[in-house]
Amino acid sequence: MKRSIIVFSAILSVITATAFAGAKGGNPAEATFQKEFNGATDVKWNEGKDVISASFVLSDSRVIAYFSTEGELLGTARNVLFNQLPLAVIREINNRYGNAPVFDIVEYTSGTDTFYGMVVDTPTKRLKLKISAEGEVTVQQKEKK
Amino acid sequence: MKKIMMMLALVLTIGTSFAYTGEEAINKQALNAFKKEFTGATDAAWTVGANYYKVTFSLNDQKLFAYYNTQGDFLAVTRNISSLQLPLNLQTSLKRSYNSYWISDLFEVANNDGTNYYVTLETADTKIILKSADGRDWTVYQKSKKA
Repeated sequence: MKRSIIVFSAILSVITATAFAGAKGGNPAEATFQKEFNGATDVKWNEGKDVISASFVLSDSRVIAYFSTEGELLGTARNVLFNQLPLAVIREINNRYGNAPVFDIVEYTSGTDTFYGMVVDTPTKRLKLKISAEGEVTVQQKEKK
Repeated sequence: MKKIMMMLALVLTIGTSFAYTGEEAINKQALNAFKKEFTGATDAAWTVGANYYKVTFSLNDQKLFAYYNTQGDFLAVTRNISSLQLPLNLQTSLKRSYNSYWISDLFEVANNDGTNYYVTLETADTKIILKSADGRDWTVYQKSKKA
């Protein structure tokens, strides 16, 4: 699981944008994609070094899904609004940072785990956070203003 | 705590009657806990249940409901949500496994242990309530045949 998240994070920062080459045997992730994301539209595939990604629209959200080269779903990422966060996460942010602006909120899934990345702008610092669905906060980056 | 949460979930699914009341009738600890945790809340209206307090309020343009026991301890906060507010894996799981059902109710309950989602799904003759703990997969909470 941890390895998947590490691979996943690396992918989010650097995606090798090559058009899907349609290798022998076709797209190994296609069947999994159709099963998991039935109803998706505007699908664009990319083949990276160790991962296949699909960008698509589902329920009015643009989502990126990541698959192994064997077609296993590794995880997903999508931007969400503050009010789409779980209440446990909203409570934790309100308790720690009050009314500080929160932006660049991304929901990540990996297996059955969901966690959130975001940036919080306090009066003295800009914080890059990772928060679990249960509201556990990890400060990934801190930048003094 | 588990018994209180199950009772709370049952209240939320079947509803109950409450008596509206002013703040003077509410335990001071509950009042202070609410004001401290939900700074910025507006339109707060308190009601008294069988053995707990319920406060309805607005925060971040959402209508929320918070519950406290008679000693003033926080029990939970809830809100009604649309399916688009579910974590993506729960949305896709519903589509995959319950495509023939329609959603008649969906709410979120958060307490000090985390977040649970409850969704009521119906067909012409069946009603199912599913529960998800902390965004993990759905389990059947209650199932019934319609009359």
